[in-house]
Amino acid sequence: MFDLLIVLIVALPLVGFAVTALIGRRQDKQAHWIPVGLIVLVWAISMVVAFATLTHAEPFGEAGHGVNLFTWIPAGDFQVHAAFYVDALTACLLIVVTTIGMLVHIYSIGYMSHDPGYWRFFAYLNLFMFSMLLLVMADSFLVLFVAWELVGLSSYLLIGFWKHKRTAALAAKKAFIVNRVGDVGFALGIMLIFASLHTLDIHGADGVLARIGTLDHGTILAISLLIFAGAMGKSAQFPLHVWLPDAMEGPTPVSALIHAATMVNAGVYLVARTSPIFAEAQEALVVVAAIGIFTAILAASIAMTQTDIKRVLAYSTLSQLGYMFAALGVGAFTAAIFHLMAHGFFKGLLFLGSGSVIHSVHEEQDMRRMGGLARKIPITYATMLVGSLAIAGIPPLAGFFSKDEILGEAFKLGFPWVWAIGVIVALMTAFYMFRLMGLTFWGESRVDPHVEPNIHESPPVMTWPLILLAIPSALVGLVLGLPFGAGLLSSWLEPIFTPSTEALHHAESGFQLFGIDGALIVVSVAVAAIGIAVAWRLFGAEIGRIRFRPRPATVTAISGRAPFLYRASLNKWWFDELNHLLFIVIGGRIAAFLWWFDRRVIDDTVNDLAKATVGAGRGLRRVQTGRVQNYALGIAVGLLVMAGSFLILAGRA
Amino acid sequence: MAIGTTIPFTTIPWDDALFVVFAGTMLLAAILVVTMKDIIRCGLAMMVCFGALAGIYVIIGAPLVAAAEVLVYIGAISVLVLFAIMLTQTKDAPASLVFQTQAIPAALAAVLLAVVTILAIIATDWGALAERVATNTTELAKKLFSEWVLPFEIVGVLLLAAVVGGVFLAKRERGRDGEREGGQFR
Amino acid sequence: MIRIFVGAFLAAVFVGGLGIIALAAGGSRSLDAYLVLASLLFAIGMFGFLARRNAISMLMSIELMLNAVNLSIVAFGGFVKGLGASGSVIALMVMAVAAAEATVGLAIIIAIYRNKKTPLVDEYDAMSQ
Repeated sequence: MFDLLIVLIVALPLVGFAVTALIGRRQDKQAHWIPVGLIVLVWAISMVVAFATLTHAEPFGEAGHGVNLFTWIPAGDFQVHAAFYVDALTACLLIVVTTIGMLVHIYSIGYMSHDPGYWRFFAYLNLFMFSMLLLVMADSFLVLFVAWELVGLSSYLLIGFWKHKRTAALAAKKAFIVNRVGDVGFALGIMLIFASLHTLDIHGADGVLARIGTLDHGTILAISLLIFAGAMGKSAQFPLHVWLPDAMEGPTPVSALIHAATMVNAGVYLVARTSPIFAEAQEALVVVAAIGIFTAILAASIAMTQTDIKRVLAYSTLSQLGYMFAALGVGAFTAAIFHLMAHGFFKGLLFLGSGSVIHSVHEEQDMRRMGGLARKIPITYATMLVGSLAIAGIPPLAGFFSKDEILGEAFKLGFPWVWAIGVIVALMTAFYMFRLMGLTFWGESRVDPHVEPNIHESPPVMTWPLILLAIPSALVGLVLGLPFGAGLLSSWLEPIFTPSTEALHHAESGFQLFGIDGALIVVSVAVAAIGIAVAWRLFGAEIGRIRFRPRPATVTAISGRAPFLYRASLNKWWFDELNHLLFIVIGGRIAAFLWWFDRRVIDDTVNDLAKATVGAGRGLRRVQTGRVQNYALGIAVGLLVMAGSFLILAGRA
Repeated sequence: MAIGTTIPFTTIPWDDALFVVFAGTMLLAAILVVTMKDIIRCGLAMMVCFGALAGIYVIIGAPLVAAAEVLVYIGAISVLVLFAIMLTQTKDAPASLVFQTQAIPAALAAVLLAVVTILAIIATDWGALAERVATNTTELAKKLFSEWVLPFEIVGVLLLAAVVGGVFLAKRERGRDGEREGGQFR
Repeated sequence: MIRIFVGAFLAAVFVGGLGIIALAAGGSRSLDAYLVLASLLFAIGMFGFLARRNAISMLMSIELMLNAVNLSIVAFGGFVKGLGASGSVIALMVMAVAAAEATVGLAIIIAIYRNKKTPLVDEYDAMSQ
């Protein structure tokens, strides 16, 4: 029975996509019933399956359960099975993906109601859900790669949804191409895996994870770095991070679903799933941690000066993803997955909330033209406040538990530099989130006077998902993280990550609330509080009794004191310009040279060969005179040669 | 009275001297045939060449062949050639070139051929008789009509065919509608 | 210019040939002399065939070549033991065939002359299409 349910999880969104693509145009405004209905059904099935998995019911047991549908490629030595595998890690991802997916689908009914491409949107959303679910449940690297590419395709389709908008089309192209760069690395990694182990199955006694230890260190290091390259592309780590901010050109539900809660987590999931491979090559893990934490601080620094509300959230996502990779890199796999789940909920909440804000001020996205919206859109305001507190890491909300676990593990497992940078990033995170809140919701209204009278709360179909997301943002930390060090999530995921942590020789030290762990908790909370306080002082706050006035003059003064840093942050550290210079300008010159080379050298060589042939033919044509005497001379000469050589040879013999 | 074997007052035998005379005449005439500008003169030189050749046949000891040479070649073929020259004369014949452009390679090839053949001849041991053997005409006649009768008959048929063919080929086209001299393919 | 060149060559052939004949052991009583003579005549005839422009000159050169062959056959008939009178018979056959061939060749040349209005073989290049 569970086999059928597992297959249904993947099959139903695919059916939804096909049906909506075929008949959606006729359905027009009713096009949402089938896709949304199917996704709700998928959510229900996923919850059943996840529950069964996490309680170790039959047939999942301790290690999870595999479903082999059919042998996709039976080619002698190269066997690829279309197989799914569901264990506790998959269950955690299923919970996040299907919950947020369902809420985004419902939210989109309201958000996209005025859009002429309504049916197309739901078709693409269902395609994306299919791809993502296939990705988290795949049991073969090739199936995973196919799902990987499909997710990239769905992202392209959805980012460029408003295809007549030039910036959207360019952003979609950029996302796809930068993804591709990472995918090349991933593909090479898969090929290397096959070349070394002659199998692409992940689990199973003959699978990659079981036999990875048999390879030599260099090969394992290469495989893990190549797989991480793929994760870098999909999860937008430095230097492949440039596509994520531009991806905000897509509709806000797309940003919420794909670029906050699900697709960008695919990279984190991949590294977590292949953690035994990484555990065998510890240099790769150091690389992962370094790139992760560097991305975190880079993105946080940019987020502090951005004026587009969605861009701030996009850079915030980059930063939190950096945290997750840093966690994976130091070996705290459970902490990374914890942060993945918590981040999915509160970032999804923040994005949907920002969508609600944008909707209420009639598609204005610049925060400098917002302000004082707290009284006018109370539900959105309240839920976004919850989300901001969560991401800033204030206990007892979700972000505190997950972020603190990451920082604590980083410090205890011997990576103090990761911890230090992480603390700075936490400070910056709290600061820019409450800067966002201050500019958007508090203070005086800077909204365009024509729009101001029409500001109203969003319809229930949009606000209910916000409320429903605020609940786990607040509580999931308590549910999964307590008691410290031995929480529910740990009990689920320890069995999966034990082989990896053992390979890394991590000592299992108990949690000491009044020892090192307590001290680290105090540092995290203090840092978050400082960040919030600074933001309140500069940008204002109106929470209950707390009243601060915004001080724009002070802001300008402070940013005036560090002009280079301010400009660098505002210009995203000029990475887009660097890419442009490297690839468009220099690459363009190289391409032009190669084109010249191809034309002049290669084509001309072939042409000259042809001309030589034609010339030879023309020359030889003169032999055919049509006159008998010329032919007779030829005969005479031939006769002489033959007779002469015969005589010479006979004479010699 | 019998002529002595050698020319009087010298030790050169008659046949050697005659041989050299006839051979020289023949070669000279042949060279004139292939190098003279005026074709009619070439034809006449050809007649001289054949005549000398007949003399050489006599020296070898085949008088019937010599007679046939004179009759057939000088009497029939050369006359035929002269007739054909007459029929195909063009006005500008004396003024045009005699030789083709490929005359030089042709000359080289001819010389080379001669050298190769002569070397082969000199190098071969023919195992021949020391003395020439003159052909007995009676014996020749007997051979002709016993051993060689089939080729004889076939040659007869061949000659008939050649004559018929020659007449047919050289016939003037008769136009169906009135006089149309020459061919239709101008 | 060509004629001087060609003439010089042929003169060399002529003198050299006669010399060889004279030097050949036995003079006119040796087989070699007649065969050398025949090959010289053949070479002259071949040169004429390849180098002349008039079609009838070519035919006359062909006759020279045939006669050269005839001479060698008769020479063998006179000197080789087994041949005897057969040599003369064969020579007669060759002569007959040569006559037939000359007949037909001249007829063809006359027919072509009627079409092309010239006896020069430069014009007979219809095979080159």
